[in-house]
Amino acid sequence: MRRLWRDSEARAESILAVCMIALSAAVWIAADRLPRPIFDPLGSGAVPKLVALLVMALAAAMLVQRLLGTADRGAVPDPGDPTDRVAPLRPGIAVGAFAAIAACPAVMDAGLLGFRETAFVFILALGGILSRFSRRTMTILVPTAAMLAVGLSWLFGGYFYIDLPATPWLPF
Amino acid sequence: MGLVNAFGTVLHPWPLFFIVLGTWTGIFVGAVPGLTGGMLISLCIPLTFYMDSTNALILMVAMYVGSVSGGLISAMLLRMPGTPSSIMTTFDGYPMAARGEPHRALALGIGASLFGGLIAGMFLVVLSPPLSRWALQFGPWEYFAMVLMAIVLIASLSQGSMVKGLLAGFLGMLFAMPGFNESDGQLRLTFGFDELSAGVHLLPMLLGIFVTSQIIKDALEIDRQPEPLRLGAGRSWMRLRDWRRHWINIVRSSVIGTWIGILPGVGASISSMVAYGVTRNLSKTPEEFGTGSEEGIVASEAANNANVGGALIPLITMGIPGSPIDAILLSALILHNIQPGPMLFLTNDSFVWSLVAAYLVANVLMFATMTFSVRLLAKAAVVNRAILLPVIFIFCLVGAYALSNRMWDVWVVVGFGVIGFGLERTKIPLGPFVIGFVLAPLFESEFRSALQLSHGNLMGIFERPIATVFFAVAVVMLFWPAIATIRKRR
Repeated sequence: MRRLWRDSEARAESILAVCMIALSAAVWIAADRLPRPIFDPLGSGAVPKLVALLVMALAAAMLVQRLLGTADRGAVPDPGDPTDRVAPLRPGIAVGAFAAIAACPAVMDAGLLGFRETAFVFILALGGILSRFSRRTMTILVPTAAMLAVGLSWLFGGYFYIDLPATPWLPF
Repeated sequence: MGLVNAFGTVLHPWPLFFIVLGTWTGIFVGAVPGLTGGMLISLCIPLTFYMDSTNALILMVAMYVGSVSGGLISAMLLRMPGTPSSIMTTFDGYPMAARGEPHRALALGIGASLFGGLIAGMFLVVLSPPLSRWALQFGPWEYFAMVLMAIVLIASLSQGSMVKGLLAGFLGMLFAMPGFNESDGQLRLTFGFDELSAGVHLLPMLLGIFVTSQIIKDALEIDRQPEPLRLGAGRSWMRLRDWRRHWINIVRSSVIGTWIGILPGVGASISSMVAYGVTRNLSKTPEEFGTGSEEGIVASEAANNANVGGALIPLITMGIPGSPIDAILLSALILHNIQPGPMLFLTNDSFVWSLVAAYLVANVLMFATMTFSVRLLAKAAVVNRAILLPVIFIFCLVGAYALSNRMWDVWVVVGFGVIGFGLERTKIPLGPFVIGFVLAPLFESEFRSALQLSHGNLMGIFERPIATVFFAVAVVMLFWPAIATIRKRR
């Protein structure tokens, strides 16, 4: 168990397997509560229950493979690191990128900002996180973000008639 | 005759413009590591809502051809396959380019790609009409068995273990279950969310799985920015003696690629792996494979491009996706109110032939573009991702929102982005997930109809010979790893 916890890939796989088992259990319970069929041989709940059961069994198999240390390594060969050196992973940047991505619908959903303003801030924020706010990248990003935010608002709002969210406290 | 007329249609200014646009953007996206054809086509779907359906699908087919081909540039110059289907090209393309022959490596790859695409196109033209006529005999049991076979096939042949492949396929099916059930009008698995009463929409799911997850993955690997090999002056086209030397390999690998493409659900990366393996086994110099072998480059590139044409065959004739990107094309067809399947040839053959003609024109255009602008594309392959990725997500956001003018779909994009990232990090393939999601409604409705026809008797499947064959293939593929292990032990 300790070995499993030390190996990050095994740890991620085990957590994912447990999540899948929980999800399919929830689906199975919800499908089981659906009314029984009258004329139709299957009803609404049969296929979801079958699929949930299969997911549960396969996720459990994956978990057991990990616990026993017999997990497959995959069929596709890895061409290796292109730089001939270990390129370090950047979990901090990935978390920052995800936070920016999740914040984007959140601020619009909460009615704090409209699409135009959110798009502008988001492009600068994500671009900044990915480039560690390098001056060169930010210089390109500012006009790009402004053009895209205004241009897409005009194109989708005015031309395709999509009701993109607007900032409630801005008069324009 | 239908094909000749279709060439007349697609060579008009607007369709031609969309073929050029699709091929160019496809090649660009294929050449940039971290961007994929699936990502491009998913992003493009919302932009095509307002387009004529023929032009929309022509654009996407051209993108498909371009993206599979473009991957060879970064595979050869960066040792970083632009698309998963170019992985095998990396093994010989990069060593050859590194020893001072980048133009020769590119020429072999581009030439083989063209002929792979055209040979598959020939199969597409010849096989599609009889196959669609044959598929007209299919009833619910046949479709049910075929969907089952598709899921097992893609799970067993996709990257990673069989368990993970199957898990991905059934997980995709699970996410397609919520919503209104047409057979009895029952709302199911909404968990209190009204937005789920129409189910999980396909487009936000695709945008999440292919685009958002890729952005998070790219952010994690943001320092993986290799220096490209220098591409000096030179010509990147095959000479006559190269054609004479490699034509058998090109034809063989193209046929392999096409036939693997026809298998439901199996993508281009498997085609290139199989063709590469077969070519190495038949080669007089197998020891050169992996060190810059010309045969290896030709086999991989001919097969992965042929796979595109092969994979279009089950899509057009039966409505079954031949690869994950075909699953996206299938959803695009449905969004454009075109019902894919055997009836498509009867009801709208001009549309089908236009797609085939566009596919062939896109291959020729891909060859011309890549031959003459390879130096430019090599520079584009190292584009600044810090600028590109935020812009891509904004298009993704607008595309998802535009579907129903609601923020829920954007949240679905974010949610599936996390799911896709999690699956990829644990080496659970995304292809079966998408195909499972797309095929789940067909699986359920055909299973229901089949049971009604057989009065609830599951054994009804064995009264239909074609369905029995499909079912048998699925069972054999399912248990093949276990059988192979037992045989090995003996």
